[in-house]
Amino acid sequence: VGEGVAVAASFIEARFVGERFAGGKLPLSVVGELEALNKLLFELARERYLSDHPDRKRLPRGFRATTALQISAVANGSAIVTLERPTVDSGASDVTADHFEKASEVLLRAISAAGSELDLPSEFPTWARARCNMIGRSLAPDEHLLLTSTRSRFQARYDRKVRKALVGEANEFEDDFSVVGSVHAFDADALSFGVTSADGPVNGNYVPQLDEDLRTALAAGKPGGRYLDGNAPFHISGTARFKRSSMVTFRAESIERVDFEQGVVSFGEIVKRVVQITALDAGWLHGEGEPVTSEIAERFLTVVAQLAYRGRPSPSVFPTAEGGLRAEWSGDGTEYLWELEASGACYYLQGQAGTSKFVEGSLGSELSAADVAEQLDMRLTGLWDDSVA
Amino acid sequence: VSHSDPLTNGDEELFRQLVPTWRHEDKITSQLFLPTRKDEGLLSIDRGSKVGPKQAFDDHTALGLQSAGVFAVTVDEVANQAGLTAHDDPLPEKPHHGFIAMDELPTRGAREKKAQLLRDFAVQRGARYEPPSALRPN
Repeated sequence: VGEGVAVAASFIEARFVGERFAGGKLPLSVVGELEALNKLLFELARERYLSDHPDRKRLPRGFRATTALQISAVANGSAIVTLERPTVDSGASDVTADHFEKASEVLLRAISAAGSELDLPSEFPTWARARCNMIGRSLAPDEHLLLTSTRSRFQARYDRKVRKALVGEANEFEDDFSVVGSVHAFDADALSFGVTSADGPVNGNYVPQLDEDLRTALAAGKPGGRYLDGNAPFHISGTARFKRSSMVTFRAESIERVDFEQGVVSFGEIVKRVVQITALDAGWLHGEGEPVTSEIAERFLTVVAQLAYRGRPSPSVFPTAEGGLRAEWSGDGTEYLWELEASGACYYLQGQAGTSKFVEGSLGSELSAADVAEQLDMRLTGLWDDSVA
Repeated sequence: VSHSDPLTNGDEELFRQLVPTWRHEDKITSQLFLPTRKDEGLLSIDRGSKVGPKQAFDDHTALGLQSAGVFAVTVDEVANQAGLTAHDDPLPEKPHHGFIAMDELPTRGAREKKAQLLRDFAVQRGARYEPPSALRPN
């Protein structure tokens, strides 16, 4: 066994208490809530990691993979869901352990404090309170969720009252915010801009001190904001005001162009390549070969931009026989590929060179480009599970 | 699906035509050795014992089809490295036609992995024929 995600350790127990859960029944609605819990833990761990490593802009390899909790068991009685965290074997350091454990500890202490009407721990940020809005939405007044840390056995009860206490005062708050996207609108007089992000449009203002070059770059944005039309991706960060989980205003304080830090081609060259591919006629592949639509091409480039921001190397890009687009690259003895199919669904694979090991999967067409990029970043790790032949 | 007896001459080369857009910079996609959905798991090849690489190229382009070059794997690589079989399958318009059988592989991932392996052998060998005028589109 080489370096890799090798075993999964029991991390947290979530016990759903209430009549609905008798006999170990678990309504599907709670799966989304566990997902929201996982996302919140990830964001808390991420913030903690970046705060502890101010010299780093990005998370280390494997961080996402080892924070993707899995349901390992649903026990009878009231439904008890055991969530386990993939960890790494002795061949690689577990970059996540401390930060993720600490994140769960802070969350459980915050929940416990809210339930006892005590002050929340100072390490529990305001934005995280607002995120609690997504957890426990389906709980009835007579139901609750009992969270237990597997390691410390610390328990915290989460119910509607706790949720209200956590979210209540966090109705409106200010927090750091950043977005990756292309500029589709710009008004120098109003100091305003609009960005087409992978999750949809984001509008904001920018501080007047913004560098002249960057203002020029923003102003060069073409209508519609499509990458296919030559718009470049930017990472725009600043401060946003939120009402509950929705952003009300956004003030950009820094803007930087996104490009690949590794690999041989730039994002602009990838765009040119994709534009060439979209010009292929039907029959381009030995008399077969479907053309690639501009919708698929734009979705592909949106995912590519997100992956560039996440520090992934530039890929080689190819059309597929069925009208899809495919990205391939290799590194550290692993071949990676992901393919955006004509349906908008995504197939991915990582294969270990010199062995028959591979991991594959697919992502549905209903996912946003941002979600596809996040999932690819999480799953194409170059790490190997023991169970992979 | 039953196929004819597998080819046994380990040194025989099996040719694939590279469509120009399947080369980006210096990288060739593993799709070069991946059957399309329409192929139903059987990857068409031209048999090197029946046709040379240049003739295979000329025959292909004479049909108005594009090729940026001819790449090859051997029967030995197919059988002993990739664990697959190659078969004779002459067609009226293409008597040197054959195929590499991937129809028994259980998953798409298994086919993709074999395609990567065969692509690596072919790229390592280098193009068996490239037209002098071949442009390398980016």
